[in-house]
Amino acid sequence: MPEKIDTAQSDAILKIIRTINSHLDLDKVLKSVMDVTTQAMQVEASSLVLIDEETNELLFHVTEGEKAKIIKTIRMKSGEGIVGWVIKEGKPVLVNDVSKDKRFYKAADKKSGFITKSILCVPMSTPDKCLGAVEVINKMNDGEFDDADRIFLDAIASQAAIAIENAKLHERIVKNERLAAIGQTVSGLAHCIKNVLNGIQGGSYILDLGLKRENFSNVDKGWNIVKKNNIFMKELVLDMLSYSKEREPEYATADVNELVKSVCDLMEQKGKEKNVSMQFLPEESLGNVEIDAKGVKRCVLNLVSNAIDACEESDKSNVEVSVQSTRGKTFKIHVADSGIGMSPEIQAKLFQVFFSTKGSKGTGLGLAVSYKIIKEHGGNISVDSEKGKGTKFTITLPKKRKK
Amino acid sequence: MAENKKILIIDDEPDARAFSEAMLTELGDFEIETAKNGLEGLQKAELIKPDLIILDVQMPVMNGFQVFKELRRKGITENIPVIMLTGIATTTGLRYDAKDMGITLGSEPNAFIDKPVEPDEFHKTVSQILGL
Repeated sequence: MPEKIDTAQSDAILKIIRTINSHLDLDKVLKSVMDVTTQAMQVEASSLVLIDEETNELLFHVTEGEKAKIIKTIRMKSGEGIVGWVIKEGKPVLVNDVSKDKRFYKAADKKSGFITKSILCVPMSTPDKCLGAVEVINKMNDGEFDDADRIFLDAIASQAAIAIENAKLHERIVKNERLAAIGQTVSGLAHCIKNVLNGIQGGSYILDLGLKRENFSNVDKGWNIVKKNNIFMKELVLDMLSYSKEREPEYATADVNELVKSVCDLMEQKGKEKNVSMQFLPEESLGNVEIDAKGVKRCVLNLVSNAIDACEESDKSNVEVSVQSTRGKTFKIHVADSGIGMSPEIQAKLFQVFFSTKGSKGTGLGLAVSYKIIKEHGGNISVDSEKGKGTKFTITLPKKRKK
Repeated sequence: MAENKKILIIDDEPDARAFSEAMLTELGDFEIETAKNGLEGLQKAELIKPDLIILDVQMPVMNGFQVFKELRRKGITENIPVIMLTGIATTTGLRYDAKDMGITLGSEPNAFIDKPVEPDEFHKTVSQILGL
């Protein structure tokens, strides 16, 4: 019967499990595993050996002991030495006098100046394959390795194998998520840019025809389309930059009534073109507040522009923009329209980047950027909408900057 | 003299409609009708029975794929040739993909033209379909 693992060794295993569960940095985890092992087993040196997946060589990934630095530089061929045999056969080896074992790799001692007397080496395996091995060398005070040591080292090696597999899995997940995010972003941007390019292509085609036929109304029409798409492209780039950067709002004292009024004035022409009447209801009792005026203006502009777009297919439609001061430390900006409204499914996707219901006119960035700017202020945007009846967006912001 | 061919442009974007119209005018004498959304497009298609429909994919409320399915479902419009204009960039790298928009098309449109639309490609495709 093998001897049981002692209390110090049980403590060591618990410590290793905790380390594996609480850290994601694999190198740190494996270093800590070998530190604990060296101390718990009272050995002069120890190593964790991995197989290089490209060259199939054996790498001393973690080394502990007096000559650790030199040992770390050694590379062994597959199957070479005791550790090579263990990895190849998938079986542990316990040798208390290496001079009598032909498998022993003498070159390592020669290179490092270390004198190996005894080795205990166990494979580090998952159910599918062997990842490498863990070995401990020279028990302190000329002691000998026994079966209990082997059981303990086996337990350590299986924990190390779990840590390696977890790290690989995590790396794969992160890589896949990153690739998916890049793919989605590139495809969303490509879609926006293709629409702008189509606008420029169309505008310049009409302009060309106008010049060719000396039709100045076509020249004007084509040139306006080109200019409009130029602005669209600029807005797209600005939105992309605001969306991709983590930033602190540039706080300054601002008059919200004035800010919202300036947005309504800017949007008045767009409203008129689509036969949408616009009302602005200021809140006289609200004094100056601390906000990033440029950012908040961008959000209100996005919301009012969307509200007018939503009205496009309705008769007698209107957009009402209002400011409201609450009794607490916040104020609200409401943008309500009597437009086409949204289904709950659309509302759920509203703030997702590149989600748009506006056909080729939408970039799918406006609301995502607005949401980000308001969140950066410690505020919130909510939406209340009913299909066929209209939509009301409410921005809630703190009156003073968040500490 | 033979009657001019009728072409219906269905596109929500006024500038894009103007672009298609300008390209058609440059190609020949056509009777051009426009519709600014899918519903209006379907009504006009039934009413005027055009010889060709230029259909944008990305439109609000009813997208081009939904309009196309509806055109093919109704006996009166099922044989009208359709050219679809698309700016969709799919993650699979395909030029167009109705599946990405959750739609099974059943039959294929006569042609797809990728945005930005190249006037030469547009002229060639229209001429081919109309046998000009």
